[in-house]
Amino acid sequence: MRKFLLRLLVFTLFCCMAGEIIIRVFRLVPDVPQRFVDKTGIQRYIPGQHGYFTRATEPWHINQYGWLGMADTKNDTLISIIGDSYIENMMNPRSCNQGSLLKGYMPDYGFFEAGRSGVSFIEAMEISNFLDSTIHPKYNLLYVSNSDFTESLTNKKRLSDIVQIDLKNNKILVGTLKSPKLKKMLYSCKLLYFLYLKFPVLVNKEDKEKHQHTDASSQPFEEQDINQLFQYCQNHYKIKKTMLVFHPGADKRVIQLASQYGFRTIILDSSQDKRSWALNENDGHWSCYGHSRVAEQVNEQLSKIIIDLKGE
Amino acid sequence: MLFNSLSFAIFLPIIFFLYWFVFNKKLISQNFLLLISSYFFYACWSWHFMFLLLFSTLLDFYTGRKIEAAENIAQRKFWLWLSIVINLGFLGIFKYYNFFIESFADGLSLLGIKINPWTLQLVLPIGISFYTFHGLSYVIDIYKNRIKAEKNFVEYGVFVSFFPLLVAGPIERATHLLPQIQRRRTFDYSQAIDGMRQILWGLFKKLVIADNCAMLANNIFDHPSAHTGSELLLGAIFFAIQIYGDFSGYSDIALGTARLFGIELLKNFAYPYFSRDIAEFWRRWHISLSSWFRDYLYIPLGGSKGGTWMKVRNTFIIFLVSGFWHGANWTFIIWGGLNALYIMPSILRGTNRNNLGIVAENRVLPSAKEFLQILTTFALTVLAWIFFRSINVGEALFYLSGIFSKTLFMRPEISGTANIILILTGFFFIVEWIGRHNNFALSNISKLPLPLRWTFYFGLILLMFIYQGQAQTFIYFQF
Repeated sequence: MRKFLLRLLVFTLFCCMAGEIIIRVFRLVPDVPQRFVDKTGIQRYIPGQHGYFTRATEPWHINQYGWLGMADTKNDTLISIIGDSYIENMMNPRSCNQGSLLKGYMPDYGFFEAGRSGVSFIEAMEISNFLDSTIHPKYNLLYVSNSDFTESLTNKKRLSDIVQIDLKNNKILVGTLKSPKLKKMLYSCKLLYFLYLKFPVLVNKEDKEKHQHTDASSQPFEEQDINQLFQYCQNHYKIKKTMLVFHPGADKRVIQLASQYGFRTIILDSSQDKRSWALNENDGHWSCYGHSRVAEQVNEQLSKIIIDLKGE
Repeated sequence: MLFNSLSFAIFLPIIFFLYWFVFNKKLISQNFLLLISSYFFYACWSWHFMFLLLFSTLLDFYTGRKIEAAENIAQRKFWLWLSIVINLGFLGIFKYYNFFIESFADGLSLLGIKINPWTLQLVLPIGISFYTFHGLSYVIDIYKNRIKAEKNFVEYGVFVSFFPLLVAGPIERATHLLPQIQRRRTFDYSQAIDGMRQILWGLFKKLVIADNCAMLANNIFDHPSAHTGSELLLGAIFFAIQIYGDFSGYSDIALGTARLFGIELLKNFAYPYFSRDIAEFWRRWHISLSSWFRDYLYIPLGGSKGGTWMKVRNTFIIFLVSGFWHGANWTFIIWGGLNALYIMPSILRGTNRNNLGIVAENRVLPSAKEFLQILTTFALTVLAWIFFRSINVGEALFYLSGIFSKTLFMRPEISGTANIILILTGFFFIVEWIGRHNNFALSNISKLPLPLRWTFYFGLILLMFIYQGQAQTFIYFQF
């Protein structure tokens, strides 16, 4: 029995070591950057980090501002691009980022990308406020999907790790980092993280819900709440310079309300495209092709909006 | 609690530890732990049906003792038939009642009489077909004076409910398993290591081969009209590989797990897809069920002793009953009947026992003739599996007509995933071919040097993690 257990232990250790090496060499799990919560309550990444997404050929880098992607702050006419993991875009080369693609269409403008996985609509608005006070963009482009609005509201469910708004008290609730030390350990030990992703027993329902981009039909439409949310935005943010870029399948009622409150809206449509925008069957994030199609549609509608705004 | 679940990965080491370190002193404590853990294992599926299992165990334990104690043949017959009727009665109600009543209603409707059949909304208790057959073999063996009735209920309880075999076999015999339960087990290093190897190979078969093939087969079987004949054929081949990987993988895990507890279970598979004819295939596929039907149905019916007509009749009976055992659906009956038809030429010519040995024994490759025979046998089983996989007969016929259409010779359009699965399946069959002389494919690997062996094990684990398919329930759990 002793020999059996000893062999089993040694073999397990051998597997762990070999597994760790193979996972690192073949990049079977993504490197996940560490976050911090800044003074304004926004979660950003600790600057200077770099790593690779699963099977990626190009590394990601966290810039001095705590985001990934373009940070062309020298340009006088700057457009900020705010959003979640779609904008963060770790899974594609940097040339497929919205900033890089839009720069190709609009060379006179500078672009600043502020994307972070799990950002809610209200946190995106907070980020726009923060950028307005620091890098002074001319326009803010917020890429949003249906779930971003409901996730912003505490009266549905308090998601403790993201920024939300308590509509009853008109108060922004800052998110807190969940077990950062444990997460750091998990992300550092690649084998452990690999097993965690394969057997997601510890992923709670809250997290699962948070990362799903659902279509309009599956989302309840709480008109009063969304009205209140936009009312709050009208009073606290510069919405005239904020353009909401709605993901394909966004709820038309939300888009309509957003327009009524003064947001400029850009609506993405993938229904006419024979080719899928998604990375693959299991990952709905946009591929390079998807990003290029998005940038094409954004450029088209954004150019019209800018002309309109100049005329006003 | 699936064998390929995290809960089983926690359950097994705990029971293993308790078995060898806490309850290892006495036979009674070893058996008591196995009984409790087996009932816990079953209760994880359904605690309600645990009482049905307990009732079935008590019934056979009691009737077994009564048969032995009976003073005359009439009493012995009475207790035997009581056990058979109640056991098959439960099986009939849970598994076959709706089928019979609906088939009866369908039959009447053909005569122009419409009735609304009163069907039952019952969930099939998991493993009922398996533990019922355990119990039946036990009482029949006592009746036939092959064994003595068990006097210790705990030992008998372990025989019926031992958790590795409880939900999908192998269907054990009291003559084989009970003697092992009746003596205290001591830890055997080589047996335990072999058990671990068999579990590893079983998991590979299930997670990598069966679950991946299932995704492809399901996709094709769910939308047959959207596929060409060649793709439909490929779908049927994927299902053939899936069901083998799934069930033999399950059996390997069950046998390997039992070995960790010092118990040897009956072999259930012996490389059936390397069979040279259908008779050989059925000696190598689900062996514990085939031999059960041979011993408790075919031989009592007269076997092959009563001339050609008797042989034909009995062969058809066991194949049809075997098909029906799998499920209450005409598709399973046709599947059984088709296999009976396949085997008939060799039965009539008396060549059904031609291929008793291992194919290409002591050779690396089969001869051209053997290869052709293997291919033909595989093709016949693939066609029969279409009925097994289909929801109803109409769907199976539609699928078959799709295969034998003009598009059969078109190049199939398969995804990149399918290419990887084909490569993995190729690797799987190569390992099985190399290991075909052994109890299971990896049992002879101990002859390799340790670094090579460990690298191979690690490679399998890695493949399991990387190419693990979407988790599917074991197919035979539904039977």
